[in-house]
Parts: sequence; structure tokens; C-alpha cells
Amino acid sequence: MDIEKKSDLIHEHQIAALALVEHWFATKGWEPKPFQREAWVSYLAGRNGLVHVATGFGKTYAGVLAALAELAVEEASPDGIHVLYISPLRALSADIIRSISAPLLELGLPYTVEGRTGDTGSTQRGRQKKHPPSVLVTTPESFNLLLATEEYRRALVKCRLVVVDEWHELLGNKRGVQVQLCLEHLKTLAPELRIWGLSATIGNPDLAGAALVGSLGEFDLITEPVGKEIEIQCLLPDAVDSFPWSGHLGLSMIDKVIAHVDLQHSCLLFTNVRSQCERWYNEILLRRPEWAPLLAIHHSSIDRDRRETVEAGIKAGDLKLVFCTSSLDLGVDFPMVERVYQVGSPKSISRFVQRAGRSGHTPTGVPRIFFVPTHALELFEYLATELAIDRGLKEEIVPPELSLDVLTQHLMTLAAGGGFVPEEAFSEVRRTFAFRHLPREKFDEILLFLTHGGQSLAAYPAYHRLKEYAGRYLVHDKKMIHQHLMNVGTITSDPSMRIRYLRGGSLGTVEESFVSKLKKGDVFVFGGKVLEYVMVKDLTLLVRSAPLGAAPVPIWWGSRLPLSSLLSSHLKEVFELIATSDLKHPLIEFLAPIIEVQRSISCLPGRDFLLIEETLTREGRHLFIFPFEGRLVHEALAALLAVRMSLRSPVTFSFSVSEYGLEILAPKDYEFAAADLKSFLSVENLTDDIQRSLNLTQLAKKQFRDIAQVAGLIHQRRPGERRTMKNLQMSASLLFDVFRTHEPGQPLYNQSFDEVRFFQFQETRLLAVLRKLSEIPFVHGQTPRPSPLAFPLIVERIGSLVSSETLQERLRRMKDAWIKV
Amino acid sequence: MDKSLSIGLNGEAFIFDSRRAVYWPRRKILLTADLHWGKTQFLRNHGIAVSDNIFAADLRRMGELLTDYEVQTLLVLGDLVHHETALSRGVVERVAAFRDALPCELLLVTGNHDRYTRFPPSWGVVEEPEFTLDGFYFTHDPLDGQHAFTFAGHLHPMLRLKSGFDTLRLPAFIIGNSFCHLPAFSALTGGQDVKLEKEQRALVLSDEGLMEFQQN
Repeated sequence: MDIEKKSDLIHEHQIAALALVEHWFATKGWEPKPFQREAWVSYLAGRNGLVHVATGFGKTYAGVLAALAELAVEEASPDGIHVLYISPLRALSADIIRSISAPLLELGLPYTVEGRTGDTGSTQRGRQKKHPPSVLVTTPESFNLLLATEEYRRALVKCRLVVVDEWHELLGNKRGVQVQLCLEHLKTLAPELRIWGLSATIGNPDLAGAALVGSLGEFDLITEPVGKEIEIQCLLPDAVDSFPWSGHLGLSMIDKVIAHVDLQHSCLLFTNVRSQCERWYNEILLRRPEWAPLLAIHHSSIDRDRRETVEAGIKAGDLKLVFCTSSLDLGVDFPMVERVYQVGSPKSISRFVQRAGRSGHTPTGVPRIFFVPTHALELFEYLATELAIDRGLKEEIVPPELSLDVLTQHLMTLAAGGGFVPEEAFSEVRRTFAFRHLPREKFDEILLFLTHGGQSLAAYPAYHRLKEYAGRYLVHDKKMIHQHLMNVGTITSDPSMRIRYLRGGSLGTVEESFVSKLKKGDVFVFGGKVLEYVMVKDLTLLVRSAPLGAAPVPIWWGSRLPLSSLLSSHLKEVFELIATSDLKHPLIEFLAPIIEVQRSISCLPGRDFLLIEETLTREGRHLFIFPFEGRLVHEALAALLAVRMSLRSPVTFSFSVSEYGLEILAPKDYEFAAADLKSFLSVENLTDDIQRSLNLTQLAKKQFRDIAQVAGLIHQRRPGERRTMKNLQMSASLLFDVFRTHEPGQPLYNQSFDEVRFFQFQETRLLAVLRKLSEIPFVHGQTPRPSPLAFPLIVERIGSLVSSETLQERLRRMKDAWIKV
Repeated sequence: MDKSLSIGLNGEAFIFDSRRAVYWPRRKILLTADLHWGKTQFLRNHGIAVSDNIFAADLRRMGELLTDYEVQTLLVLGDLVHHETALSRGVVERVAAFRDALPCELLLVTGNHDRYTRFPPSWGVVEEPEFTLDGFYFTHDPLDGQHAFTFAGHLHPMLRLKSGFDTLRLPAFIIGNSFCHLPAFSALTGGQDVKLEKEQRALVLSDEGLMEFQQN
């Protein structure tokens, strides 16, 4: 909407508020950016909004400044919480508080700003409860807790603005669902509420905005015409012939990176997983020990204190090369960072751009990112990335829906904060985007679960987390409230052990499964340090320092992001453009040898056909299928094929998947008929066949762990718990089996299957892929040896699956395998 | 797959049953460990919803065993109950009725979970810190015993099996030269992975029966 016209609509004191904001900007010598001014005007006109601009400065002020000025002009009483600022990272709250308090102080306004996060001490929490600040900076989890506290509920009645920062980071996961539920509840407390989201640019801002404002309905989308330019380059190996065709560590590029970094400036080196980050740090330190004071490592398993020290070091410019993972994708501003390296495929355009945006934060600086390939095929991904960035495209974010575990947690919060009436709670929940399709039966099932444990009352004597008093549902038991408040949150972690020096000092966490493989005296690398296993005590691994050297690195089973569909469609396009010689790029010549091999024994893939290669080796008959749809869709396809092929004939197949395709390994005499393949990959009976997959149950069991934690079905283990608490320990997998045997209709149990189908198997994307495959021809050729595309599938053999067998058959097969070992 | 296997230990015949128990025919003793009675109730008291059907199924399985074998003594190698606060009236009455219906002697070697429990008289529990018979030593925690052939519970042993990328983790009897570790009887228990040493064997349990794995 035209700014001038909108300005006409707003009242005089709103014009005064705008003038106050502009005045303060002028005293700082700043010129408001168009998007900032647009956001202020829109807010003052009483609108909700979503500001989505490329990562850079000024979003915080675009979000809150108009509201502060509005308070000042109205001479509103400072009592009560007028503005709630929600940030996904508690580490950011100090910076945000500083930004917000500057105008308050300098304009002499009577309003206060404070933080309330998991770090806030109990004295401050107590004081804050009695005298809440006018602006409260908090996290989604703490926001939820506020709603369980009577004093805050009263203070929030005056809330006129909620700002949700980095909404793109929350929207795609359950934290976003939690925020939606809490916002909808806040609307019932605060009638004057306006909601504003701040986000990086994304592919579907309309949906992001709709999910944010929920029942408030209308909102303004505010963006910048062009994002900040970024500079992209690729580090090349000496020759593509000697460069590996597969692998993900990329250590062969270490010397290139060492020669390339410029330690006059600071830089960040991003890897995709934590173990890779540890390896790179360790290897560079072995080669350049004199660099030690300038290097550091940062990832989510390292203790927060240590991470904060590293962040301060980057900010001050003392650290010159910091190895990190997604833990630094967002966070405090680093003006000293001049460039970023990305090792391996970033898997998505948005992530690549976001990481680039961590550099060049000086007035004249430009974000600069260097791509470091880990194998030859990633150079094609790089070409695809460049193409998509040139076109200004970003991925769409798919928000989760109907997350019953988050709903369970939310209802407990409402019950603890004064109770709820089912009728009202249901319609409130239904007003959120995430639960707009929630059937009343599901809601009632969850309510029944919370009050009686399950559908069959007889099976759960004396169970009650919630109790009903005259139509209102409450938690009365203090213990139960405490237990709930301790567990609020939707970020779950794998069973992990704390690592601590024998002489004191905590380092971080590793997964139990890694520790279980270690013996006393074993040496490993963690947090860039070489450590020796001394003993395990109270869920803590005690270690001492060991001399620098090469040593194993823990593996964390974090979720691996698949190649985004945006990137994969561009990748296929890149191959097409190469095939028709329509892509002019210096890299093409470099890649010529590999393109030549692929062309000579098979052909280059494209968007209009499905490439299938068949190769006979000593191992058996391999069928390589290349849909280029990312690891997860290929895993789902493999599971689907396993079911369908096992129905056809009793052969045992093995499967492996990569980002580009999947491999079926069959006995040598097996014949892959073209007609069969078409039917194996058809859309018909998709849901039923996936349900039948053995793999689904195993994956659902894994997924259930997170759900059980969020819904409060199990207790998270904490070191040093009392005996009673220890006796409450029950693994989620055990609970999963219990539901499976005794209550297969349990809604949270069923949710684990739904989540696997929709998030792991990406059923929606899978369906689209199968539809597409039914329309395009299959180009099925024999290759004398595995092609460059097929090679990584043979080498990596990750996540191979088996055909559907009974437990007895599986046990027999395991016994056979056992004897051979 | 077999539902039970007869195995000789120290010159005595024992029948290993896939329902997580060992029968000693000559002495008419049924051996079990880690029953954790009342665990479902205990978890519910603390806000964790687990169905009572699990407890009912455990009792039913025990009932089948007592009917299928001629049992004079039910010997429990510790952790008969989960926690002293778990013995609600419902639990006490249910077990009492069960004991009435299928009477036999119930001898308990005290486990760590039993320490603070005073057993209801209606259950007729005879408690011993440890127990020896015919040169066999019966204990809860295997670390306690350096004796002759030892039967023990406490560990809830599980065996992790692998073939290719497929893995299974199942409860098992672990038998060595001088010991036998029993799987937990209760279905509502986790367990710890056991690595088979040389000359040890595991009887892995599933609903379909037992299967033996050996390390030579």
C-alpha cells in the first residue's frame, strides 16, 4: 500500500509517534530504510505485519520502535508489559535489550526493558513477577511459561505488540507451533494485541504471515526491493580427475583452505555436521599448530559458556578462523567477520545465503562466501546454487500441523495457569494455523489422555495429570506443575552424557552410544581438544587432556537435512543446460572429464525423464535410479520399493540412498523389467504400501522419543536425581512398545507414524515425485561400470533397508550373519 | 523356533522358557527375576500414563508358567516390586488374588528395589538376602557372588543383533561357564546391552520363541 495514503489514515498522535521515531533516528545520524518506515507506519495504522528482508541490520527497530513511540505519545503508564519480544535464541536477548534501551534512555522515556529466559536467575524472576518491565524480551519456551503464571497473565493484559524475531527459524518446526498456540491464548488476555514477525527472505512469506497472525487475519507484508548483493566463489581442487567422486568430509581440500584463508581478517568455516567440524579443526591444528590462539570451534554440543566465549572472541576480532555448524547460522552480530567458508553442500539456497550473510557487516562490506566442495558432484550443486541465487529464489518453509504433543504440553500450561474450559480452549486452539483442521475427537482424546491416561478408563486406575472441577480443567498437584514447568519446550535431544574434566570444568555433551564404545584410556577429540577417557560417573564422562594428535571424533545423530526441492530442480536444470551446451561457466571446462565419463557410459540426467542405470558387478545386479529429490524422499522410495518388490517375488534386496538417487542391489540373475519398474513407482496404494513398510515402525519408534518428551510422557534424565526420579526412568521405545501392544489407538503414538510419513518420508513431496514420474519416460540403460552418479551410492551404502520379513525370518538371518562373523 | 529349550548346567537339567523363566524339574522350582510389580501404578502416580494392562499381561504370563509346569517354589531373583510406594490397594489385592488362585511357595532373594518394602502378608513372601541349593548360588546382583554356579537377575540383559543395516535388540538369557543371567520378567523394563564373551551363549527371546547365539 502507498505509504502516503496510509499516513493520511492515521491519527494525529500517530503522526507524532512517527515523528518521534524519525527524530531519534536523526539524532543518531541514521536515515530510516524504506522497509523500516513502512513497518512503523503500518504498525501505527493498527496493522499486523511480517517484515521479511535479507539478513542485515535494522529489523529490531523496524519491529518495536513505533510501539515505543506510540506509548510515549499516549503517555501510557509504564506499568504492565506493553511489548513482548520473542527471539529464538536466548544468546541474542542481551543485544536486543541493548538496542531497545538505547531509544528509551536517550528520549528520556519512562519505560523499562528486561529479559526473561531460561537463564534468568530466581531473584530476578521473583522481582520481575511483582514489577514486570514495559518491554519483555523472551524465548518461545519462556513465553509459554509466562502463561502459566498468574502475575504475568495480569501484566500481559496491556500488551499491545508481540514481535516474533527470526520467524523463519521457528515456522518450520514445533517451536513455531508452540508460538502459534501461545499467541492465540495471549489474544484472549490482551484485546489490543498486534503481532509483527521479523524474518529473513523466504519462498512463501504469505503463508508465514498467515501462520503468525492466526485469527487476527489481516497483515502487511513488508520487504525490500533488492537484497544485499553477495559475493560467491568456489575453491577448486587441482584437477577433477584426482578429486574424489564421493565422501563428505572434504579433508582433501584442507591445504587449499589453509592457503586461502586470510588471517588478517576473521572468518567462519561452516560444516554440515558436528563431527566434520571437529575433524576440520583437529586437522588444521595438526598442520598449523602455531595458529592455535586464532582458532576456535563452535557447535551445539559444546557447553554454552564455552560457546559464548568463542562468540565474544569472534565479536572482538581475536579469533580469526572459527569452525562451526548451524549453531552459528543465526545469533549475535559479528562485525569483524569478513568472509565465510561453506564445506560441502549447504543443501538449501536459503541456508547458503543465510551463512554468507554472517559476513560483511561493515558499512562498506559485502557478504562473501567461498564454497569448498567435498566431492566432484558437489561442484554441480554449486552451479545449481549460483543459478538459483541469480534468480533470487528461496525455499518455501512447510510449517508442521496438528502436532498433538505440542498441544498436550500447551493444555498443561493452560491448566497450570488457572485452568481452561474445553469448549473455549478448543475453539482457541482451532484458531491457530497449525490446528485449523483439528477435529474435536482428537482434542477430546488428548483431554481424556490427560485426565485418565487413555481411552479405556479401567486400564489406568488412579491416573490424573489434569482434574476437572465444575467443567474447568486444572492441575492441582504442585509436584505435577513443577514437573511440567521443568519440561516445557519442544527442543529435544538424544540421550547424552556430559563431558567434564576430572579437575573440574564442563565441556559439553556427547551421545551415550559414543561413550559406550569407549574404554578407559581411549583418546578422542571433542570441542577441538584431545581428551582421554578416565571414567563415567553419574551420567558424566570424566576426562583429562591428552597430547595433540589424530584421534576419533564423536558422531552425533542430529537430523541431516535433505537437498531442498528448489536446489534439486536447479541441479537437474544444470545438467540439462550442460547437455545442450547452454550453460557458460568457467567451472564447466574444469568438470569436462567427469561430464565426459557420464556421457560416454550413460547420459546426463534431466527434468523430462528419469535416468535409470543398470550395472552388473561381482556383488550382483545394481539398479540405480536418479530422481534427484533428496535423501529423505529416496529413503521413502526405497522403503516403498522394498514393500512392492517383496510382494512380487521372495528375493532379498538391499538398498542404498544418496541425495541424487537410490540403488537396488539384487541377485545377479534378477531381471528388472521396465513394466515392473513403472508399477513399482506408481502412485496407487501409496499410503497403504508405506504403512506396510517395516522401516516405518522403526522410524516411528525413533520419532516417538521426541513426541514423548514434548508431551511429557517421559521424564528427561538429569544427573544427580533423587531415587524416586530414577525409578521413573522409562525409555520412550519401551513406552512405544507398550502402546503398540496395549493401545494402538493412542493419539500420540499415531502421531509418530504421521510425523515419519510427512517429515521423514515427506509424503507430500513423495506423492508429487511419483505423479511426476508417472508422466515422464524412464531412460533405462546398461552401464559397463558404475557411472560417476552411481559411484557414491556404491561407496556410501548409508541407510540400507531390507525387504519385509517376519521377526522369525529376521532372527534367522541375523543368526546366519552372526555365524559368519 | 522353540518355545523352550532344555539345557544342562553343572550336571542338572534346566528348561529355559521363552516366557522369561527357567524351570528346574528335579526341584520343581520356577526361576524368574525382576518382576517390578506395581511399576505401572508407580508411573501413573507420577503422571506417566501407562496402561494397567501391562501388569495384567505380566501376571497372566506368570499364571501360564505356573500352570504349564509343576511348580512348588517360585524363586524370584530380586526386584519383585518396583518401589515401596507402588503397593496401592489395587496392586496388593490383585497379587493376593493371583497367589490364592495359583498357590505355591514364593521365595524372594532381596533386590535393590525390594529393600524398603514390607510385603503384605497376603502375598506370602519368604525373603532371603541370598540362597544356595545343591551347589547353585542364587542372588540378585551378580557382582555379589564369587561362588559356584550363580543364577542372577538385576542386569536385564539384552542382545543387540545385526545383519547388514538391520538391527534388533531383544532380551536374553546369558549363560557362561559359571553363571546364568536372567532377563527381566516384566515387559515394562529396559535393559542393558551385553557383549558375549568367549564360551558364552545367549538365548534370545521373542514372542515366537528362543534362539541361541554363541561366541566360540
